[in-house]
Amino acid sequence: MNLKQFGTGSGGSTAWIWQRITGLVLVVTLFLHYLFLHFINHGNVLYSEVSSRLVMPVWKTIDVVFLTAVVYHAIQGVIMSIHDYIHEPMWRTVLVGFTWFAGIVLWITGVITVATF
Amino acid sequence: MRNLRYRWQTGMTAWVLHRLTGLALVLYITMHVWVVSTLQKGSGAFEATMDFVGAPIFRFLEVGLFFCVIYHALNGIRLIAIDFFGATEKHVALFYILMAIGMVAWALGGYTMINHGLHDMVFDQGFGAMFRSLFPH
Repeated sequence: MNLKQFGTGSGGSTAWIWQRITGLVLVVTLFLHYLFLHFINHGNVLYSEVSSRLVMPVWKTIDVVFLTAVVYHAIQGVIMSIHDYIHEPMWRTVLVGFTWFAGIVLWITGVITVATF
Repeated sequence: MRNLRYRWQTGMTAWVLHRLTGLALVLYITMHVWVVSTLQKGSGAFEATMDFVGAPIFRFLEVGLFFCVIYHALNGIRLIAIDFFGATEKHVALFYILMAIGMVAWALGGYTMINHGLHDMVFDQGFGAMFRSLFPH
C-alpha cells in the first residue's frame, strides 16, 4: 500500500511564506504587547484596564490579528517538528490533525474572550 | 531516531534553540490564552486568576519566557535575512550580533520585569533615573 504522501501534496512553500509573514507580524505585535503589559503598566493586570481597551474596535482588531498570527505560527511550528521526527504516515496524519484541531480550539477560545467586550 | 546527527556548529545550534524555544512558547501560549479566557467570567474571576499568576514563582518564570521570546524573535529575523536578503554567507556573524543585542535586551527587560521598574524609571523620571535604578538601592 502506497502511503508515501498524505495531504495536498504541496511542497510546503505556502506554509513557509506564511510562517515568515506571521513571524514578522508577531515581532511587531509582541513588542507592543510587552511594552503595554510589562513596561508601561506594571503590577497585576486589572480587569478595568483590559476591558477599557477591548471595547475599542481597533484593539479588538489588533488582538484578533495577533491571536491569528500566533496560533498559525504555533500550528505550523509544531507540524514542522512532527514532520522532522515522525515518519510513520498514520501517526503523522493523526498528530498533524490533532495539532490543527487543538490550534483551532485555542483560536476560538481567544476570539470568544475578545468578543466578550 | 538513530539516524539523527547533531553537529554543534553555529547554524545547527541556532536551529535547535529556535525549535526548543518555539515549543516552549507553544506550551506557554496555550496556558496564556486559557488564563486570559477568565475575562469571559467577569472581573472577580479574572483578577483572582491574575493574583494567582502574579506569584513570585511565575514572575521568575516570566524572565525565562522573555528569553525564549527574544531568542525566537531575533533568530527569526536572522532566518528572514537569510531567506530574503542574501545574508547566508554572513549568517554566523549575524547570529552573534543579534545575540549580543538580545542579551542586553534580556538583561534590561528581565531586571525591569522583576522590579516592575520601567514605568518609574523611563516614563516618570527620565533616563538618569533609569540608569540609577539599574543598580539596587
